[in-house]
Amino acid sequence: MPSAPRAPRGIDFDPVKVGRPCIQPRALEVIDAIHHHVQWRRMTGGCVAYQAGAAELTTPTRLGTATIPNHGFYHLVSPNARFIRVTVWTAGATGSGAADPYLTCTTTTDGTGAVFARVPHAGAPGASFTDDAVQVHSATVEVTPGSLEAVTLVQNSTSDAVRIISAVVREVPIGTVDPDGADALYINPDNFEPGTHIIDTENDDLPLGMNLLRRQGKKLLHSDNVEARITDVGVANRRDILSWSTGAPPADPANWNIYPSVNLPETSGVAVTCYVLGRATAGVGTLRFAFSGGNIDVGAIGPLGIYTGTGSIAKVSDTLSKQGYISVAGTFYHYASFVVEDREAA
Amino acid sequence: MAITWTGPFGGLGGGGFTGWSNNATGAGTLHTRYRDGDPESSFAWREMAGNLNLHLASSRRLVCSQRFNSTTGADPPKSNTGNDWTSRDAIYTVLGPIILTPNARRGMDQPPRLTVRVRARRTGGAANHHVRLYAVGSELDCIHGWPFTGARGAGYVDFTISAGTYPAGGFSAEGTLTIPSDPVGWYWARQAWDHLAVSTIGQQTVEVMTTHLVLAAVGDGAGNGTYVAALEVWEEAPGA
Repeated sequence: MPSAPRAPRGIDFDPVKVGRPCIQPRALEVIDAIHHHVQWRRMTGGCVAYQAGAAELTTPTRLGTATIPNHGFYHLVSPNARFIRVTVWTAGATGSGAADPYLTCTTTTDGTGAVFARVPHAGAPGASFTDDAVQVHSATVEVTPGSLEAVTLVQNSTSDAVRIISAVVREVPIGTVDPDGADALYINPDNFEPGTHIIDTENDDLPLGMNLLRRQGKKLLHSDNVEARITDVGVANRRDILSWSTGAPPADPANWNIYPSVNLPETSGVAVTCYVLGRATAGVGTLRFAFSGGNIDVGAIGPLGIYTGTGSIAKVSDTLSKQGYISVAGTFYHYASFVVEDREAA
Repeated sequence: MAITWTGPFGGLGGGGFTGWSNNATGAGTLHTRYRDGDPESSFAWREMAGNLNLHLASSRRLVCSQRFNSTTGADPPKSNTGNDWTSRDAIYTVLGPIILTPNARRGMDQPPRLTVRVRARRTGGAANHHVRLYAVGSELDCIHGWPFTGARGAGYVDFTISAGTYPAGGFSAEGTLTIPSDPVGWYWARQAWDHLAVSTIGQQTVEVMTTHLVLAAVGDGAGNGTYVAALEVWEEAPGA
């Protein structure tokens, strides 16, 4: 049975003196650090939040119709993570039907999903939240380790809707690294007891573990689950969906911060995929993800769906502003957008 | 078992080995070269230690990024004109629970810190308005207990809003939400962060660190309110 991890610490930068062989305690420090990263650095995934008085909170529209989707998130699952927990704050429900509405949370792995957030009908929240209307509900749903999961909150009715204040996706942590996991990230510390030799095969497990750690520890860099309606035609008139300015970004555009994971020193940047959940009523829409070093355009957005674009961004840190436009007169609806790191090849 | 030499180190001397070695045929694969007991193996171990620390220090997590502006404009709908933090009108939204990663250097028993930015402006007037992001240890305290937490003297980061336009760059300067380790005030019987036992369904119950986030803002009490158009929260850099 694998032992529980020691305190999660970064390791001493000088574990081995030059000219001396490595000793077991130093090897154990490296193992602990690897396990810490695998187990405890659980990812909180995408989120949605509305302020009191928001139109979507008062009269929900994200009901999963042909034109307006349910709330959805992309979650890049960590190695060894097998479940996510979705917590939703609600402000009662609309309508006056006999049955109280509820939500179902589905993932790519679990298409049936978990039913939760059954809420009573209540009056529409105004500018303030009240005690009796606000409730919290959680659901635990299965995911596949290391995969990119599409997480969706499905309303059970398109007439009686759960009023969602906010929703957060987070991974369920595990106490120990799974020694039988297919991702082979487990390193048995019992093989590194003082007084015994560190044999070659066990020695090789450590750097292999770190290689896998770096490759698989990719993450969500940005998420946005709020609707924007863009009617500006052509790239020259593109609309920043946060600052709501048009045209070329000003000298100080409204920028999100982006902090990518460690990447190979040999590469010039970090490979990412940008996702847009949207639709256009005429022509096609485009959402430009403007990073400091260049743009990644997600275009050809037509019928309601997920559209993607790939590219490379700066290592260590970057900035992002998002600008949308439509090709002809009409409306480009932005429902959600995400930026996710891509995994490095072996 | 053959051990494959992987190539050059990221750098020598100055106490720093950074970057990942790569082998001759592919990228990013690090193997130890030396056999057990070989004094020259120290170079490989030092590089491994450096690589791992770099990975830990560089891999901060996104906690939350969210716009609140309307579907067709820069401003969100809510603007609290009151100046009373104990009023529920001051609550803009609530999130959580958020699982917090222990800092790799401070460990599981030290409260976490979050880097926070907001995009906010006041609607009018001349007095400074304020936006705060609170870390709250329990769901009960987020809304149901809000009016009673008059002390509320800890567990938040405050942003002074002194302009009627959004800041340059769109967001405020970064603030650090340092979650306190001690309870403050008689009502704050719980810490602003908590250890939560989580059943992992078929595996084992483990204890994690969690908090809830409450976004709040006040105006000047004279009819001028505060717009909060966006929120961004990241873990602190683990190496800090």
